[in-house]
Amino acid sequence: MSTARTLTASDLWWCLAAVALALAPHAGRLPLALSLGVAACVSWRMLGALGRLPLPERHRPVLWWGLQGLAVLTFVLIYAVYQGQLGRDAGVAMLSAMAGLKLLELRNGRDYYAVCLLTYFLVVTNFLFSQAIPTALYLLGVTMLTTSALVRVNAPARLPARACARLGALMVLESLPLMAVCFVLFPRLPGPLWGVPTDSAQAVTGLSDEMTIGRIAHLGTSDEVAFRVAFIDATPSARDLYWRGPVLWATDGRTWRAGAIESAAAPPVVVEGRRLRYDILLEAHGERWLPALDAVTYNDAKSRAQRGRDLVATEPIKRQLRYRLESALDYSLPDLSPADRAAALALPKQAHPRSRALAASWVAQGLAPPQIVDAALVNFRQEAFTYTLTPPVLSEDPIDGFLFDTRQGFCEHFAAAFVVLMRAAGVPARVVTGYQGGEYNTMSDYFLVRQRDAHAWAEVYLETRGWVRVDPTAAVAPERVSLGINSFAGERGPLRMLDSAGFAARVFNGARQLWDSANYHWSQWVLGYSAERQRGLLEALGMEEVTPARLVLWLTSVMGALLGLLTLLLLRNRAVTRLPPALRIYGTFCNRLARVGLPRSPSEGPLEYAERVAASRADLAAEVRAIAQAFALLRYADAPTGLSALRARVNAFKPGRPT
Amino acid sequence: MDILDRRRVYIVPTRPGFALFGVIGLILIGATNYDNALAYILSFLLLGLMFSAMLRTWRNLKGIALNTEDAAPVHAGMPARFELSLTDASVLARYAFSFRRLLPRSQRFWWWRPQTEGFGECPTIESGAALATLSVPTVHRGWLVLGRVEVSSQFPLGMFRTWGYFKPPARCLVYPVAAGKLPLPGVTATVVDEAGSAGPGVDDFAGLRAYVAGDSLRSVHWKASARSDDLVVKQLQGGGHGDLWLRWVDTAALGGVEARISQLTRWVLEADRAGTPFGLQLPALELPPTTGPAHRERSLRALALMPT
Repeated sequence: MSTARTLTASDLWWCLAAVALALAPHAGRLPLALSLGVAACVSWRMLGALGRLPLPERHRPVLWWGLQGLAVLTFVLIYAVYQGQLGRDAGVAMLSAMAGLKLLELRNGRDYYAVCLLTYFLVVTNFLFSQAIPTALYLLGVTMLTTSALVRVNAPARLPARACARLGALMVLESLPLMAVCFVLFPRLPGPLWGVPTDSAQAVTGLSDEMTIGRIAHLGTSDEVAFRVAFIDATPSARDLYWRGPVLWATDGRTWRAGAIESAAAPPVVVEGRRLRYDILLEAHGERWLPALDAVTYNDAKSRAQRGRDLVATEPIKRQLRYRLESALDYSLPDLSPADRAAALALPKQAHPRSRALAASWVAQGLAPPQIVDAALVNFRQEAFTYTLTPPVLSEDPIDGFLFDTRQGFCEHFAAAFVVLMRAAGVPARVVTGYQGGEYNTMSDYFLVRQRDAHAWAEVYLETRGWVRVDPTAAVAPERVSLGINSFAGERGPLRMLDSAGFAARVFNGARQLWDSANYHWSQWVLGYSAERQRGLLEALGMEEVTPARLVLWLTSVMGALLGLLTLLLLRNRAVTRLPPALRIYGTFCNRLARVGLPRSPSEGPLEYAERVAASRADLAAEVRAIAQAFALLRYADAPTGLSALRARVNAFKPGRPT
Repeated sequence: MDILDRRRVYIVPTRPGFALFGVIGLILIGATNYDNALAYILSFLLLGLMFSAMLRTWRNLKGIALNTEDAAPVHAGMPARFELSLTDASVLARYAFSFRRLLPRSQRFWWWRPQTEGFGECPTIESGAALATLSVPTVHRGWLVLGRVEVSSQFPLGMFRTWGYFKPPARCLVYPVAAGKLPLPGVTATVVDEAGSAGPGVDDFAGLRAYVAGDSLRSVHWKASARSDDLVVKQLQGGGHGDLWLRWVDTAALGGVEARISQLTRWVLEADRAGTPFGLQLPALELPPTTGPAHRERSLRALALMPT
């Protein structure tokens, strides 16, 4: 198509649909006015193509200059709204506005190509916001549609729309092998080229590094993935799956925080039992903490252990992170520095008088620290404490209120109250937040930990054993630990609607596991395919030294081979496969006669040919005439049967050389 | 018949094609900066799409054959229309071809000037054969040798342009432009020598017809005209006395050779339209007076091919 060609309405539908679908996912992310404006541009162009609305063309000066003014105004407004930062969000806003305005002056082939290329670029902007599987599939479809739009404008008008759509999709499918090769072999450059975008990360859920009563309950209903864990050697039992997150030392009576990090170095650990290796694929949560099991003895993340042996990364986790850890489940931490001891005993002055009184009564009884721990747990068990995700509001002193009045709460109430009791009784204690448990995916052998698995527990320091984990929630609701939070989600989860043991529930669970398994591998192999993984994969495939130069060499040779293969595929003569069966059989018949020196001339019909053959070869006459008759009937009289008879006759027809 | 084999099919990216390469580069840079796996994937996908487009564009042209015969004569300034016949031995569906005539080498000296002229289109080759018309502008009288025809296509994506050349042995006779303001010369009574006369019936009255501008007043049948409202002229059969002679010498007043040829061309057309038998007398050639399309063609051909 020449670029100066005028466009027909049917060309335009394709282009408009492609642009609209590429922009659709942005609609919720852009300022509302801009989304509406772009939608208005698309509709205006559609109505313009139908002749219902005048388009802003040069011979309509009011509309034309109005549009120019609107364009300038739009860009100024975008600049103002995003305060001059040309980051991801502002860039997408600019591109969307450009696409909308460009549609209004879409007139000839050149504009059409410009819009299609812009659409390809708009597709990629979506990936800056989401790289999930559905997004990828959706945008693959948009890419196909854009390609079909290009086919439409280059194809003659008589080519039906379905053929254009098919060809566009087929061409995208054809490019998949080359895409895969490039993806695997293209050398990955380390690091950003011009700095990481400064846009605020999307709203992410997850534990924060402080705990205010009520926060974890919010997470308790979230199905979002927190992280996934694959154990390398052995899988521990569900009761050991305490994923430690931020360790909280300081409290003002209501909120718990990590507190000052003066003695930031982690105390040494004495490992007693086996060690577990595992890979964690952590979703972005915007904070710096990394979940880990118990005492970490090896880690390859850019992180360090703090004084509570909780891991923190050097940067906030703004994108999915994959790291490998080794942990000891049986260990002891014998040392407690004076500063840490002080921090682990600190309570706000004059707070929690009734709790302090209860703790003082245990001390007065002369109980040793382990017995005080037991006494507190017995207290939870014997008094009428209930585990619920919807506790009553605590206004005055939340700890005293919970311990002596409401007695209803969930993990963080129990953990905070327990630590307060311990500290009041002189036993060093701290709150640990994190996740407990996880759903084992039977298909891909990993644990899926969701936000609703968020948990809080306590650790107390006993002189003989060092820091020991105590989960007061387990004292009240042991099934919370053994079965997971699902058993308490009550009517909130959709799963509750189903009989949990029923067939529907099993199917639903299977599908869910399959879907999560797909997501896991997608994250592992597609989204997380880094320079490191590339090296690992290629070395496993037998490449010895993975350098960029070698990669380029491999890439070019494999691409060359693929190009050759694709050429062969495309040039393969498909005449034989496309012919109707009767013609194919007749072709065989003619070929056999040609081999004995009696080729059919192109203008000869079957009967005519048969007569000529019969005239020169009396021995073949009967058979040749019969075959020609049968073929002519099939081909021209539209006889419904006789194909297999013809095939049998031709197969049996073996003319010899004339004797 | 001439078939385009793979060695004679050329291909280069079009401007949108180069632009798409640029877009792929931009996406790749973005993918590196944001370390975005799907952006990498899209850029590689588009690269693969370019590969696919290149092969499909090339395949669309490869293997077709083109033939054409001489085009019907036209007057200079009118397009010569060559009927192209395209054939294709395979059963592939092929789409969107355009045709241009490659200018002769002598006119292709300036590389920034267009190298081709004329235009023809063929939307699709179905069941192995298709017809198309290549219109080539004409300027000068004489033979227009078609020379090399460029067949090109950008199907399916317009990202690549593929082309090849055919050299069918076709030409078109370009008649001179009909121009000039001199009136048709009168029928002159010439003395026809014995050998030249066409036997009995010379100067036979063949009938009456309506007057058209340019008819000589001498041929008006006044009696018949008086009976009707319009002027009526006598139509005469055969040569001899009273024939219309279109003579080279009669156009001497015009000066230039081409102008004189154009004037004669105009006279030929007028006389032919009027049905008047006419003779053509050129410096090196003389066609005896007669009528009919064959005579007109012969006369125009003589004028077209007159050496300057």
